[in-house]
Amino acid sequence: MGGYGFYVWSSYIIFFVTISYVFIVNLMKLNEKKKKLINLEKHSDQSS
Amino acid sequence: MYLKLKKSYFDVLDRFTPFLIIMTIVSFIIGSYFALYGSPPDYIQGDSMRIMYVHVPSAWWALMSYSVLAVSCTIWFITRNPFFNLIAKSIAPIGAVFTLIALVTGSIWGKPTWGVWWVWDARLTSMLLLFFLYLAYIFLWQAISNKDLASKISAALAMIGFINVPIIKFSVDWWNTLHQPASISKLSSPSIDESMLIPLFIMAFASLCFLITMFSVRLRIEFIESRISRLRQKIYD
Repeated sequence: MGGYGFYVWSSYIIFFVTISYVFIVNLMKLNEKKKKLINLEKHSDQSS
Repeated sequence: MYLKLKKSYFDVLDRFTPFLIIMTIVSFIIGSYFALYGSPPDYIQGDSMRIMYVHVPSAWWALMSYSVLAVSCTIWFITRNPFFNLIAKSIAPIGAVFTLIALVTGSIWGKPTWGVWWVWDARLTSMLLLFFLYLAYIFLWQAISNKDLASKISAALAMIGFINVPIIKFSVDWWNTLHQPASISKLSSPSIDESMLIPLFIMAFASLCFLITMFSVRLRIEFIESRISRLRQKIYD
């Protein structure tokens, strides 16, 4: 990388680590919300 | 009423997500190969120019996301259709992430190019302001418990903040800045060689795929949250 390896690689690492983190956290959040909704729907059906 | 109508759309999004994820990963692999190995170094900046392939797409989509946010808020303001609130709330965190990446990678690129990590020039400062606008929009929703009031204040902020988008775009033309002017102002005659333009477009496409994937995931989260709050109200009333 002609002496610029640190700058180039750190940019790509920051980029991919950040988007991977955002992707995983949001996917986990979506699954958690789905479970919560299913539980609430069951609770709602029982109470009605 | 509007949110009930949209349930079928969210089921379609659910089915499309795996396809979007695969497309994102494949295009990132191809794009990274061309960005790091398949393209030549710049004759002045050398290999440090390769940072452009992650920096520029992030900045593009950060600006596009804010435009979507501002347009959604405007439509919500006119129609009061809550679906546009969901769109705005879903795109804001993704836009904030792209803005942060553009700022950090730009700072890393600035060090070998300008000799400094940061300068208070028009492009960098207006981009930092964009990041604060995203944060303000997100925190307003969390800080105000009255959702109707939160919608109004955050929408007003998003619409007023849109003034910053053309300022970012034209800051390099209006003021003397360290930041270089746009290399691709016209697609027919870009001031960048094809060997660098192709990897840039592949990385931009990959980042766009990521944005769409994340937007579909965030949209479903917001939709489910709205259903949860309605169900809770129904149970406790």
